[in-house]
Amino acid sequence: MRIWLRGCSQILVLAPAITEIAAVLAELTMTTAASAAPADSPDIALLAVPVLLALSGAVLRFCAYLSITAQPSAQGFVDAMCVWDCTWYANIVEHGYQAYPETLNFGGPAGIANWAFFPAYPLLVAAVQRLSGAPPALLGMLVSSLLTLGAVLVARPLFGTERRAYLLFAAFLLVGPFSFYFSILYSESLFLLATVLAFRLLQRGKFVAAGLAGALLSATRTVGVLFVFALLVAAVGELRHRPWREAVRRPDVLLGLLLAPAGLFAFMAWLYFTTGDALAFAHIQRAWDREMVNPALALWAALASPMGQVREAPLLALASLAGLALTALLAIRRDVPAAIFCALCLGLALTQGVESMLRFVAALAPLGIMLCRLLAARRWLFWLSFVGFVGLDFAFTIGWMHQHGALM
Amino acid sequence: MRRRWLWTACALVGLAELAVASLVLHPNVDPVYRAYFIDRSSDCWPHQTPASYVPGTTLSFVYGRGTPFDANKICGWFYPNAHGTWSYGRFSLLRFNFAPVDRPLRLTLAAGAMVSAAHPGQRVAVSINGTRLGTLLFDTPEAVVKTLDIPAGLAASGRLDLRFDYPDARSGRELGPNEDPHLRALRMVALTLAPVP
Repeated sequence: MRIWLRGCSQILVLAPAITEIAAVLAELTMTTAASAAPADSPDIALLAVPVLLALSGAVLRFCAYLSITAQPSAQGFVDAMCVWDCTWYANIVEHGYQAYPETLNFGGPAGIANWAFFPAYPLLVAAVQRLSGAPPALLGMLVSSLLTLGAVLVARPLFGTERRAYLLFAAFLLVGPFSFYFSILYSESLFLLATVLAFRLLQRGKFVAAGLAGALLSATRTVGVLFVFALLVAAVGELRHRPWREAVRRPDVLLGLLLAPAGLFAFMAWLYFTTGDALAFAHIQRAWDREMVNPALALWAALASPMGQVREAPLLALASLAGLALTALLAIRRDVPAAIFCALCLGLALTQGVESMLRFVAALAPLGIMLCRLLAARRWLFWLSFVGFVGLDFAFTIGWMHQHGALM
Repeated sequence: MRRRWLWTACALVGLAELAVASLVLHPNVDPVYRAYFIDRSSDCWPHQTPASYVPGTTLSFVYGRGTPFDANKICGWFYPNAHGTWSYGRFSLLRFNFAPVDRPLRLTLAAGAMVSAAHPGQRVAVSINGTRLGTLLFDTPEAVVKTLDIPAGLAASGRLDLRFDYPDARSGRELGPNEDPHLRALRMVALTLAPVP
């Protein structure tokens, strides 16, 4: 009885935080705050344009598929877009997590298991699949597209009065070079939404709600747990000019910090009771022959040895450097929590080398926001970028379907 | 009042996370898993294999060519490529199940080695069912053919666990050809177990 009461009290404690998150999401259906949009711009456009962009992106990617296929079909499109890790997510959606690494020979030296893929996204798709019965790859396209659209809409207040930058950001995610990542059975879309939500709540000083969004982040991808450092920096910024007695009277800050890694801890507990190894998600990296390396040396090696082991290594190194440059800009513009988060995410990803760095950089929402702010500074640059995004969406989607190494 | 509940929530969440963190220190796994994935004291993740083999068959270690060695692979081999299959780690294992023969078998290997001017040779200690047969020396990256005879007593069992130990295994990073951190010694191209004529 006491435990039950304590559980109820926890729900009551978290209720305001959940309400905060719900309020942010509810705003999507209403007009945006007066301070967020110029008075002369109809707010409905800020809702309608992303929806139109999302539909245009879907049509554009299908056109890219038509351009390379002799006998096109809807199923063929879904199959063509479901490459690399998509098949892992589909496996988790349909069969759940393995209890033990594969012992059948799959070609390489190690046993392999699906524990490297964090659970929040496949759980969400699996839940929808239980209701609909549709194949995971198709559901992934629908769920990811909706999540990305949600991320675009939630991000609106982060741009303040920079309406042009916001529209470019919407185009970047929905019809831009990397929009295919956000519209297939990959966790990038949920990571994007959780990141935007977490930083928006942090901007409002809602630490518990931001911690809950952080928990979603840490249950979505390995690097998601690093949001706890962004929260910590924001907390220090909030409390540093206040008397210490007031600081210790802020249990909401501590609770936010404790909640942010809760997604990771929940996954670890589940892995322990399923496999016996709480760090199975990290240990299984050996099956992909991933070794910890010095990030700086990994970058240098990728730039200096184009014929190295990783396909398109120099291009991936340049993507990493672009990500780091945008991170530096975030820091210069005093968005320290976002800069810390992005720097740590890029640094941690680079400890495994430059492989997949293009995808990792593209999915870091604060970097996309910064990039679009820069590109929207001039009207002509805005339009040039917009056209470039659309063209690259077409080209990169074809590259993705052809499994171009740099896009992995 | 709300603050009190928040402190209680902090304590509960913190304790739960500490409890989960403590699980990291006590993995409940079998020794093979622990050695391969946690301690990394072994490079051998044993694959299940039928290991069926017809004496005289030449197994190919080159991707997409000839009779692949997959059915006889236990562990210690990298991904096959167009030039063969590199050994992985300090030893490699193959298993052969076949109709017992009453004659000695000859093991014929075609393989090149990971060598450099500073490390000009790779010794390969060959054992069958735990019995050391001998040590072969590979001193060129190009594939060369080496042979060893397996006594009739061992061949008569109809099941051979063939083990190659590589005391001179080095990583590509150490020897210079690339940044690969994995230990390699031998690039196997082909292997045959045939009755001695």
